[in-house]
Amino acid sequence: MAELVSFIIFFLGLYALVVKRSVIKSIIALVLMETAVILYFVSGGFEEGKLPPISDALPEQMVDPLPQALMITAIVIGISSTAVALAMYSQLHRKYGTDDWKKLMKIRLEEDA
Amino acid sequence: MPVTIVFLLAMVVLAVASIQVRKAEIAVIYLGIFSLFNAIFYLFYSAPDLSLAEAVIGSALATALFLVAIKGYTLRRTQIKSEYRSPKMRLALFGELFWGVVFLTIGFIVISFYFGTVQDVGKPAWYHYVRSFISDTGARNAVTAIYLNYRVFDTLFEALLLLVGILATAYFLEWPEGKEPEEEIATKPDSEIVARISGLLYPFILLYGFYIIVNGHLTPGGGFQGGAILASVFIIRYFAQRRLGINIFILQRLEKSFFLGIIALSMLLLLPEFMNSDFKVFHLVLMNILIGFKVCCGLAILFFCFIFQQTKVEDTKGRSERG
Amino acid sequence: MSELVGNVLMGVALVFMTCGVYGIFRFRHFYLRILISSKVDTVGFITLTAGIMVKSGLNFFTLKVLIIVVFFVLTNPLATHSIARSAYKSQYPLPEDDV
Repeated sequence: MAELVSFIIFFLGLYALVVKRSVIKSIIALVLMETAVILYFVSGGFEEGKLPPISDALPEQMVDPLPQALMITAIVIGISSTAVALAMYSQLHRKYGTDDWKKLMKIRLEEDA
Repeated sequence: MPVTIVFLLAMVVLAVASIQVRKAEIAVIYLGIFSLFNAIFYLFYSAPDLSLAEAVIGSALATALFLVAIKGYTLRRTQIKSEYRSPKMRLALFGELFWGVVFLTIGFIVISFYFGTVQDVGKPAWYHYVRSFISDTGARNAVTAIYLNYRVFDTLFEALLLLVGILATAYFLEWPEGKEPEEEIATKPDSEIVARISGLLYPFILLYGFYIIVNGHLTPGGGFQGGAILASVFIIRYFAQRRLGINIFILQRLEKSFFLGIIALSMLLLLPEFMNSDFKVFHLVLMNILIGFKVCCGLAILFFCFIFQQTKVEDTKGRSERG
Repeated sequence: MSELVGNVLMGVALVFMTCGVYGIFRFRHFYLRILISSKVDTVGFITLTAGIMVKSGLNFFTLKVLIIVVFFVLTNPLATHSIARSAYKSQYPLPEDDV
């Protein structure tokens, strides 16, 4: 079930990345796709009725700790990449004064010509 | 479990809402609520470390970053309405619908392939880690054992990536060179109540952050989550009192030296005769503390970069309105 | 005995919360809604945690819950205050006489 939902959220993010005209929507789509990947990894390590990998549980009862350890690093990297994207967006908006991919492309083409 | 299904459905609905809402601020708020639901869902899936990380970083700090970055940039409601009325926009909306259908079909094809071909290959790594992590590393939390001992390279490069992300953000936002940024944004606090009460809150937040960091090898938590909680002290301090209270260049130098400390400390794992069972636990706690301080400095710098940018924008706006 | 008292307190908290949700849908205006949600959240949460504390008895866990309550009592009115203040400062209109 969670795997299915992670696929759905990933494709929602891809759809927004391709279709939406606003830059900030593209960044939101990136965040959504990243969250979907994390969700997929977590649901891959889980089985029904297993406990968190902390020492009170028996070894056989624990979930797989490896995907969780990898995904903690993924979350922290995710916020730094989001911050870089937001910084680029901020500069773009300050320079061209618009939030629209198509208008931005038009302005850039006129500048080049 | 029916509860998890409710949370998953709510996550899908919130994702659709944050994509489809036209006003950017509302979309960001929906994204924050989506992250919060995500964090609660990880709790049901036996991942308390991840839940804490997602709640602190994904739900709180990322939303604050988004809101500061888009402050003053978004369109007014009347502008959006007039733009969406034009016939050209109607055509564009039709195109969106078309692409939506295309992506839904691609998604369903991929999902059917996935569920048709997935196979169970056993979990050799799971058996190894779960059986021997207490005797190997001295940690009581298997997640901490993995990211501070078995796979410490991952943590090193993750910390390096955070540093690179901060440098890139600072490069794009063009820091004011040479000047003391602290003086630039010193203004009066917005609300006296918030300024006073937030002073009472710091001990609680610091206590919680240090508890999470120091007990990272025993309970859910660790350097990343605790560092993010400590960084929120700086953010609250800025929002409540309009004061940084610390020079940002010192913060950056501190972050780099903490990173050097993390590298030096993790090199000790290459000397097996040095790592007896007492020193192992001490090593874990020390690593967690260094990572916590590094992440705290890093996230605070990220936030202050956007604050400087925003004050610059407001300055230029005010000047153009006056002159 | 303490178990029963704790359960009763938690039930009362649920009643408070239900009243609060009804109040949010009953009123139409932003300032009234934020007033209702803030008050009911604070009272309901305090009652709920009091129920948990009575139920678990005197131990380390109760102390942790007590710290959470103190933190919540400090932060929740603060958050409501700053939301309402920012709405007022950005000239959101005040409600009419009849609600």
